[in-house]
Amino acid sequence: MQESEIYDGLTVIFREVFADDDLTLSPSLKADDVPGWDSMKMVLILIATEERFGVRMRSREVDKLANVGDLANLISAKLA
Amino acid sequence: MGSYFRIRAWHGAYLAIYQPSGVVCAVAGDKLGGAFKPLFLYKDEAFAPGIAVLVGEAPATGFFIRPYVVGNRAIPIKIEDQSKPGRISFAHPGVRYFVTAEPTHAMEHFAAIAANRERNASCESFPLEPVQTSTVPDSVQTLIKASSFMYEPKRTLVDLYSQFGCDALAAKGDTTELAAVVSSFESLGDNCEFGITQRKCLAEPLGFLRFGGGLNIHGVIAGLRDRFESIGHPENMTCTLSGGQWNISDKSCKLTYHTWRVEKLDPEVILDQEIKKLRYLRGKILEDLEDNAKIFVFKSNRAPPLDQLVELLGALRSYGNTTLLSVVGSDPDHPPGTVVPIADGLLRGYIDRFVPYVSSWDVLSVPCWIRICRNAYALWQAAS
Repeated sequence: MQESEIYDGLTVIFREVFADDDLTLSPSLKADDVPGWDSMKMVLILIATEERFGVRMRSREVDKLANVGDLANLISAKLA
Repeated sequence: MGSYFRIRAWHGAYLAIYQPSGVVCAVAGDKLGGAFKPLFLYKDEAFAPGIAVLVGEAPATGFFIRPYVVGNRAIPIKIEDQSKPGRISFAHPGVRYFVTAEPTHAMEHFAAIAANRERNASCESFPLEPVQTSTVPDSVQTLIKASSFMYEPKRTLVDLYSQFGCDALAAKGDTTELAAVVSSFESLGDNCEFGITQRKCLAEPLGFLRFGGGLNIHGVIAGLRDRFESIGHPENMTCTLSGGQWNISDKSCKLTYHTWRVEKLDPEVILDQEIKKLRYLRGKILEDLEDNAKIFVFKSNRAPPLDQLVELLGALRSYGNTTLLSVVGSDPDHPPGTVVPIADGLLRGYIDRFVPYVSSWDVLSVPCWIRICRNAYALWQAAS
């Protein structure tokens, strides 16, 4: 899967989770930058990500995620 | 009069946040320049070129408004009246998070941020209405009333180290390592003390029982033995209000925990999300147990006897080669921060004080928790 496809999929997820159709993802985007990105939202993002991309992420992998770029890279690695 | 935000929208406008003690934050419109489109609509006219923020009487830099698109026009704020809520977004370099809010939901949002991140505001109400408060034509003032507004500046880990008396770490300038260390631990409940400690260290790891309470050591052991299968079933779960926030109870195991979400949110929506969250995190803790990915922390203000800890370790180790850290009060032979191995896979840490079960988090002994985590982490790494 191309990186752009991963970002497209993540964009759909983030927009749905945050109910914000204008939300634009970038690799450097992090929780601090998005209003309401708390642990509940993080879990909803992870659930939707695992479902959409058909991957399973271990919590030690999730704990290391610092931004959207890390999440996209993790998905890419899982799909490789 | 209670404290309130005051957004005055006209040429040279400013946004002010008032508290009973006086103005705490406000911005001057001329600080924003032409980079932002007119900030307010009033009677369908965009008439305010900017928002000014002052601190006390002095202009403060950096408070700005993000664009909000109405039709094909980008404007930072649209204010009509309460029945037609607009949207307000603002940020300040000194605050860690953007605040974006629909006026009718804004206070929930502020309060949720305050609870979740210990930042920003908690307010009772957030009515938005343009009102004419000046004799100057087209000088419209918008009042956002609130009983209180807390403004807490962004802090770095270095600041935290200094605050917690860890001057050596502050001098080292370490900004990430501590968060990684404390994220290597997972609480087994009792209460939020360790979960809050992680938050104080700017770490937000996933945690099944991170904010769990009411689950004693017997409950944890029973849960481990049935792979926490009984937790998170809708028929066992209730969402109840306490102190203005929704709490979740799961009667299957007497688990209770804070959602950190406030009264005005829909409890059915919260409950539905929390069920999803619990079931997801249940899977994660089981993976962590199998992977030996974390050090599991059991603390109780009433230290359990050793045989119960051994029983707990046995339940943990039915999954994998897990390490348990039991934290108890310090004694003359074990000063605060000490961690000693007392059996294979069982560490005991000594803390100067726990937060009493009915008390304020102000007495949370973060420096001592940090020392315990560091020492336990080193032992765990060495054993691995």
